[in-house]
Order: sequence, then C-alpha cells, then structure tokens
Amino acid sequence: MEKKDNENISYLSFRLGDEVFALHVGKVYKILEMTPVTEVPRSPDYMKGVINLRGQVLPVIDTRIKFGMTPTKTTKSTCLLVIDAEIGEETVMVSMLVDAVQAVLKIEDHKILPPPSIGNRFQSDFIQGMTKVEEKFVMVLNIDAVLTSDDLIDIKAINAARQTAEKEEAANN
Amino acid sequence: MEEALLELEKNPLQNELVEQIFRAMHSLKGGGGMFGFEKISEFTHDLETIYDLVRRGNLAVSDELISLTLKSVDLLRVLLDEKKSEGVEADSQIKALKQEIAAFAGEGAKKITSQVGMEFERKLHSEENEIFTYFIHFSPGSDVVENGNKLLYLLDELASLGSMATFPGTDKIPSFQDVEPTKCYLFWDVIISTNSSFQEICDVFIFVEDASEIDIDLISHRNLLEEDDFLQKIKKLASTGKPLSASTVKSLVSQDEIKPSQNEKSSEYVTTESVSSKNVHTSSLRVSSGKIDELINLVSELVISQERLGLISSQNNIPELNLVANTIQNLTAQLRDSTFSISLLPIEALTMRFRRMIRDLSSELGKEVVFIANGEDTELDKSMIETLTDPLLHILRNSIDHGIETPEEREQAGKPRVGTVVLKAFYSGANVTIEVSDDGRGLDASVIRRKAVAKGLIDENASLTDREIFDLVFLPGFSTCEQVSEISGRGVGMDVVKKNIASIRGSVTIDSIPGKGTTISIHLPMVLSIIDGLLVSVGENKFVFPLAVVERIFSVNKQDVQTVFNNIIALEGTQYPFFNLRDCFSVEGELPGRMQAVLVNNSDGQALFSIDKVEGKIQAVLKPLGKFYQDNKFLSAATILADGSIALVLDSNAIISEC
Repeated sequence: MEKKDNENISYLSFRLGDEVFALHVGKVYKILEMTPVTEVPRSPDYMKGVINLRGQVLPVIDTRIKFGMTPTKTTKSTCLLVIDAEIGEETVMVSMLVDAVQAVLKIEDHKILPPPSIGNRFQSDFIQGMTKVEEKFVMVLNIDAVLTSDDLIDIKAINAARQTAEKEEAANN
Repeated sequence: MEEALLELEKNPLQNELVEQIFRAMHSLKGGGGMFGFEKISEFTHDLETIYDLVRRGNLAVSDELISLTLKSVDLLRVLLDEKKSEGVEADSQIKALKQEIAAFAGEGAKKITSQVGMEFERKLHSEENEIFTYFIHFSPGSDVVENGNKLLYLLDELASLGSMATFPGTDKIPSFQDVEPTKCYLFWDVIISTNSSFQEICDVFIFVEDASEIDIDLISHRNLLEEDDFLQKIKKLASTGKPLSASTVKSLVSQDEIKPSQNEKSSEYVTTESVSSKNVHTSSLRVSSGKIDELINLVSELVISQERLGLISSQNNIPELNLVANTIQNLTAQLRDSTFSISLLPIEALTMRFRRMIRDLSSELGKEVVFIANGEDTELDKSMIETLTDPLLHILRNSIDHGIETPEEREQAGKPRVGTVVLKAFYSGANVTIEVSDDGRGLDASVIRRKAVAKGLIDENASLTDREIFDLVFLPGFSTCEQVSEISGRGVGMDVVKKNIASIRGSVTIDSIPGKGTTISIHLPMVLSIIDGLLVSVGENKFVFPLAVVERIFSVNKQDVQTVFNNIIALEGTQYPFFNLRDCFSVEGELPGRMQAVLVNNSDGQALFSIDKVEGKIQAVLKPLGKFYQDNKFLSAATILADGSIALVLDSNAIISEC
C-alpha cells in the first residue's frame, strides 16, 4: 500500500536546453542511451525517425523541435525516454529525445500547484501542474496531450510563465 | 443452414442437404426450448414437420418451399436478435408465416395420404410390432455440461423410448481433490429394448453428439430385457467392474442365437460407420485469434533470428554451420507459410452471404439476376474479409438496383432476359483484386457530369476523362438515381464504400461502358506480415520493395538519371515512367556513378525507380510504423534487418500516384 503511494508521487525530471520538465514515472517505460535513428522521409520535422527496441519499431520524437527549440545535437547525456502514451483510446509506445535525464523526484500531490496561465489555452493543456524543486519551478507535463497534438509547443511562453510564477513567489516571501 | 438452403435450390434432389437443414432446424428448436425461447421452438417445430416430410421423400422441394424457409430463417434471426420477442410486429409476422407453413404442411400431408396412403401406414404398423435391443455406450465429453445440456433429461428421454437397463461407469472419475464441479466424468452403458428406429435413438443425442463418444449397436432382434436369463448374465458381468462393450454383450446374446447375429453383423457395420462419419466434423478447432496473433509474432521473431543466423554463417565459412543455417532457413520458411495461412479465409466466406442477398433483392425488384462468383478460393485475412462485407454488399446492391435493367427493358435492348453479376477475385502481384461486374445499363458519363456540376462538385468547363467522371460517384453526397429506393440511392453509398476500403489500404476504380455494363474493381494489399522483399539502399537509408511487385532490375548511369526529361526514361527500347527515389525522399548527397533501377508492376502498368544499389533479397517481417506515421502513405511498414537496423517498406503504388 505504502509502495503504491510512493509510486503515485514519483516524477522523472529531464532537461531540454536550460528548461527542466517533469513527468510521472508511471508513463516512462524505459530510458535508453542514444542509438542510431533510422530517418523516415516525408514526415514532420519533429518526427526524428524510428528505432528498433528489441524487435519493436518505435517512433522517435525530437522533443526539442516539438518544443520550438533548435534540433537536438547528440551529446554524451542525450537520452531516449520510452513513453507509454495514451493517444485516443490506444496505448502507443513512443520514444522522446531529451538533452539529459536528471532525477526521480518525490513530490506529494498537494505540492503540485495548478498550471500557470500560458499564452493561449491550448498551450496550457500540455502542462499538468507546476512544482518547486530547490527553489526553482518545474513544469509537470501532461505527456499524453503533448504527444496527441500535432502542434508545436511554445517554449518561450512556458518560460515566461515560469518566470512570472517565480517572481510572484519571491514577492510573497 | 442458409447456405444449405440455397444449395438445395440448385440441386433439389440432394438428400444430404435436406438432412442438414432438418438437423439445423431440429437443434434450433431444441435449443430454443431449452433456453426458454418458446416462440422459436414452437415456430421451428412447424418448419421441421415440413422438412421431415421432405426428408422421407414424401414432399418434393419446390421454390415456394425454399422461399418460405428463407423467410422463416430471417424471422428467426429477428427473434434471436431481439430476444424479447414480445414485439407485436414480430408476433403478427410469426402468425402469418405460421399459417403459410401450416398450409404448406397441410398440402404436403394431403399429398402423402393420397400418394402413399395405405402402404405407409402399414409399414408403420409393422415397424411398431418389432422390438429390437440396442446396446448404447454413451460417454459425454468432459465439458458437455457447460453447454447447458442436462444429461439426466437425456437419459430420461431415452428411457421413454422403451424399457432400459443402465450401467453407469465411474472409471474416469478422478480423486476427490481433482474433481472440477463443472466437468462430467461419468459414462453410461445402456441396454434398451425399443420399437423406435435407430435414427430415433440417434436423435436423442443430437445435442451432445459432437462433444461425446456415442456408440449405438444393434445386438438383438428380440426384446432381451424381457428375458431373465440375459438380465442375470448382464448384471453379473457389470458387477465385475469391467467396462461393458458391444461385443461382450453380444457374446452373451450370441450364445443363444447364433444364426440371426450373422445377419446383424452386416447391419452393425453400417450403423457404426454412420456414427463415425459424424465424428469427422469435430476435426477442426476453434482457437482464439489472440493465440494465433501470438504464434504469428513468435514466427516473425524466429524469421528475424534466422536471417541473423544466415548472416553469421555466410561471414564465417564453417561447413557444418552453413548446413544447419540452411536447414533452419527451410524450416522457418515452411513454418512461416503454414502459420500465416491459419488466419486466412477464402473469399467464399463472403460470397455465401451475397447469394442470399442477391436472390432476395432481385425478386423484390422484379429483376432476374444470376450471380456468378469466380476465384472463391482466393484467400484474404479474416479481418479484411469482415471489413469488406459492407462495401461489397453495397456495390452488389447498386449493380442490381441501378445496373441491371428489368427483364422487359433487357429484351428490348436485345440482351438476354436474365442479367448477370460476376464477382471475380484473383491475386495480382502483392495485391488481391476483387472485381464486381454486371451486364446492365452501365454508367452514363454525361448524366454524372451534369449532376456533379449541378451539385457544385466540379466546374462546368472542367475537362475530365470518363474515368475521372466515374470517380466522382465516390464523392460524399452523390447519387445518380432520381428515385431514392430503400435499397440504395441515398447518396451515403459510394463515399462510405471508398472510405471503408481505404481503411484497409485498398483502392477502388470504376470502369463502365454505357449499355454494356459496369465493373468495379477493388485492389487490396496482402497484409501478410512477412513478405519476400528486395532490399535496396538510397544514400544512407535502406528501403524494401515487396518482391512480388518487382519485375526486373536495370543498371543505369548517373547521367541517364540526371538528364531525365518529363519523368520518362527509355531503357532497352521501352519507355518507362521514372522516379528518382532520392528526389522523392529528398535524400541529399552525390549520386554514385553507377546506379540501379527497379522496374515495378503497379495497378496501372509499370514504373521504374532509381536507387543507389540493390543489396539483395530478404524476408521482411513487417512491423507497423504506428500511429505517428499513419499519414505517411509512401511507406507501408518497417522491417528489422539481420544487423538490427531498420529498413522501410515502400508502397510503390502510392509513390507513383503522389510523386
């Protein structure tokens, strides 16, 4: 019972550029080191290609492009997060390219604040909530919404919203 | 049952078919009664009566009878679907049909009395006087109770036929902790003296015969159970605990009556044979599709591993390894073929339903139509067959409703009275093609054009070929029939047909000659998940052409490819439409000096694709590209190569039509 509670409040944080995001560990199937990606011609830019995970063909999403950033440059810390995404009524396995995986955070439910208002309404659908880790705000992603949508996500709007939230926090203290 | 009926219409003299119908009806009746659908059982009882007459040869099969029965089958289906047959409409329908049936049965009965009359009765009479003794070994299948059969009732029914001695066998009962309450472990040996016929005894077991072991043997022409001597002997034998068998019982009998038993022997052979022929039906298995999918997945993995083994064995030249690798390659190929054939169904499964529909529809519309199905043994994936049912039904309805003219019109046009609708299925390359053609009035391009202009679907001055005009009927909201009939013509037809077929990656085309007829062709890809493929490389990327579409491979020069004009290239005196895969997929980099080109058959002819290099033939296990790439029409799947990298499988048809 206790274990289950712990699971409920564990989040994996990852980094895209300077921005840190978190997502529920239950969604993460596996973390892979960078492997060669087979390009699929004639597909959107953020669809990087496909990889072979033990005989399964998984699509790879360049998360940086999806979030309106420059394409990922492979470094030592570049990782692939394999996600069980729910798209429509299906569960689809997808891998996301991220700059670095950081840590597993234990965040209790009541410490997750409601998402700040970001740009337009569609953009805020991608954010499930916001939480404070070491005096910095981390956005908790609604990964299903991110992957279901064909739209790009505006990282600048998210960045701005985070900074506003941090300023407000500082003012309150 | 329906199938048998239609078959019967063709061959009215086949007794086997009548038997089949009779049995279907009987089990329907019994089943209905057992589960409380009293209306159904009441209703089928009447039908059964008629078929009993037919079965005994007292009534000839007529068109009328078949129509009546088909109608009844429909009604039964309604009854079963609704389950609460309280609906007034259904009730009245039942009544009406019942009257019809009763009239029919009455008619039949009259015929019998007049025709067979006295003779028949006398025969019955003589049969009644004779009492035979049968030995029955009845061992129900262990899960027979799960189907709702009550074995005790069954034995009661048997007892009502005559006097009976039962010896239950308990040998198969496991130790107490292993007993599963839902299973049946008992078997019975029954000796019965009755005036009923062999057939009547068989009928008692009609619901359990598939799942059980039933042996019925005639052991004597006398009522043995009235003979104390025999009874004592058999009881003694039973008390020894040894299982009884027909021959041991027989031996008891034959001691006193040697002569008659010789005669019986011949009859006994006949009876046991008829019983064993029934058991042949149980040789097919029902397996959940999940298990088959799992099997297919495992075979796919095996094929990938085998390819890898092949690669290793060719790199290391060890004779023994090569030998094993070859054997494994052959075995996997065989395993692959037989596994994949499990989930394939012949198109016959579809055409059976259509025959019925066409028969009903043409008589309803007052048209005379013959339906011919060719290539019914062409096999398709089961799920595909299911998706195809509705579109094909719609196309056939259209053919009959709009295509085929009335008999009078046809005679005026100098055509035979009877219209023909042909369904033809065949393999073409990696595709399966299903063609539906009729010899009706055909499509009138000018009418379609006018209509499309009126509906604002095309511009008035648009120049279109006939084929393009015919394709307009696939647009939503298009229907050429002035009168909207119940059957077709609501304009929700062809666009849905096209959509359904597109959902299984198929395509539809229409060809029509006014006054001569219309042909609608459906092209479907074969969805086998392992194909033989030709592996090619373009730049860094690897692609696979399904080997079935590859005609031949040419060698071309870099200059030839660069100077291609108007996408046409001439090779060895023939001009081919030409596609450079580098351009299609925007692959950058310098072209290699010598290139190769693959000549591919597609639905409209041939086309040439230039590639960097042909790598070789592979067995490609198709892996879906998944939801994220479902919009990508050019690539139908991915496959994993022996070294673990991924190659993409090309859909050359899509590239040709879109590039």
